[in-house]
Amino acid sequence: MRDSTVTQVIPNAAAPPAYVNPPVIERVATLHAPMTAEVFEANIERWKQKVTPEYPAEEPLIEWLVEMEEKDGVPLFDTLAPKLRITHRFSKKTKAEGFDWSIRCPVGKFTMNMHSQPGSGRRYDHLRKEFAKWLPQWMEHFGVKRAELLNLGYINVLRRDVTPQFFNKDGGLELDKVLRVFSEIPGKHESLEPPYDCRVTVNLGNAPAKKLSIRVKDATTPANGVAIKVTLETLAQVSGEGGISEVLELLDWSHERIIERFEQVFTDEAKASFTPEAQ
Amino acid sequence: MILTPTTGPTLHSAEAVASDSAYVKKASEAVAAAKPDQGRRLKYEFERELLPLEGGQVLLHLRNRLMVDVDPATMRCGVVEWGVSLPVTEVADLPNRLARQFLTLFSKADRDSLDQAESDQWLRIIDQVDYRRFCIDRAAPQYVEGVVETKQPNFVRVRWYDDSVEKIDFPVASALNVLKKGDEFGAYVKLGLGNKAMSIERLTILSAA
Repeated sequence: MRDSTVTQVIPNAAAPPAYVNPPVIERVATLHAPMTAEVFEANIERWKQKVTPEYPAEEPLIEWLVEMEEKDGVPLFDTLAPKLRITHRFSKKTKAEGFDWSIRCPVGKFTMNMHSQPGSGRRYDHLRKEFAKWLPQWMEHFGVKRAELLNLGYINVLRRDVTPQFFNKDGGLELDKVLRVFSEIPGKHESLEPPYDCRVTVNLGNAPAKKLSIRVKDATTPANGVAIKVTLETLAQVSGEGGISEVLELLDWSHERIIERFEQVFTDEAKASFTPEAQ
Repeated sequence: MILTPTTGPTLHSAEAVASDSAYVKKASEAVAAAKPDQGRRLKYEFERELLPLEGGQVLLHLRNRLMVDVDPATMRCGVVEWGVSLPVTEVADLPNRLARQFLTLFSKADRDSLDQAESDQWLRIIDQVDYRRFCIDRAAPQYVEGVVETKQPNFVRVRWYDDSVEKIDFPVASALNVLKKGDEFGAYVKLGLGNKAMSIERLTILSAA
């Protein structure tokens, strides 16, 4: 009687699915913490000295904002308050060179952006490593003792040059072949057209608060033609008792939730086009 | 369903649907739809309460937020009362320009060399900043002598040469770490509002306890 050996392959449930060419173009992590304007302004110049050796391109973000209060749905023009906001921003490449990694430092916020393109090989782990390197320095430099909120955002873009198989000969994007959400609109029509902007926020738990939002918006430009931007973003409350390790654990948790939703938002056909990696 | 490029008129530009369900155009939509008046200067509130001087070692506290004028015809912006104007494309440098203008006029005022126009401008500027606080923050450290009365883990109590007693909290008090109760010392002390010690440096022991 021959012995037979059976090898059972057990999928690694802990490993999230990964793709060779995911459509993600930017990953953004932001930590919010209490900070006074005095502490910020007294320390920002020395922070610049610390950051610029690795992030030499200093290009502040300029925002010309218009805010107005509404009462019972009526805009109150006497509350019209146009504002100019200048936010410190440091990156490894200038905007003209196409941006690459950046750190934004408004009062009480530390934001790190990692840019990528399909096939660039950049992963969440790269963002996490850089975030884990700079966050403790930022907290120590500005005397931050307690974190409040953590955001993680993934911005995915589908364009003809990235996923040509989902575009027809007229340049239209076959949404239902790509997305499981916001693609089936009830009623009879020939096609969808911009403006196309759908957003939902789901509650993942209270105390501490955890939320996730999914936004699908057309990102059509004359140069690139029809495109859509799919943004997945989490917001999580930090208890503040666990220090840096709590923030990083929460960042990992946020990443897992985004990956879960990514799997559910995109169709199998779309995910196959992103070239799954062998597990 | 296919998402196609826009053809013909778009819903972006169309008027709101004529609904009886009391649709009121949102404030942001009303502003966005307004046609810019090229001849009118636009005013924006500068979202900043402080201007850093000397690399943030001295902070200029603004009493109210400054208003930035934008001239759409020339695409220049600036703060008129401060005599600062620059191209919109260089607006990121505005805090530096304001700080430089303040120090320029402050230095001239200190030398008594302001002309009439600059003098008027200087008066308008100091009306908009906490000038007293600036003067205190900017003052050089003074040499003072004192005696350590009490040392606690989170503060040190000092009796100064003029017999006033001050409880100095950490981290300012960390400069006195090497001293013991009863030590007489001299040091250069930077004083803040209410003559409170903001920093202590160049410590010398005059008489050990």
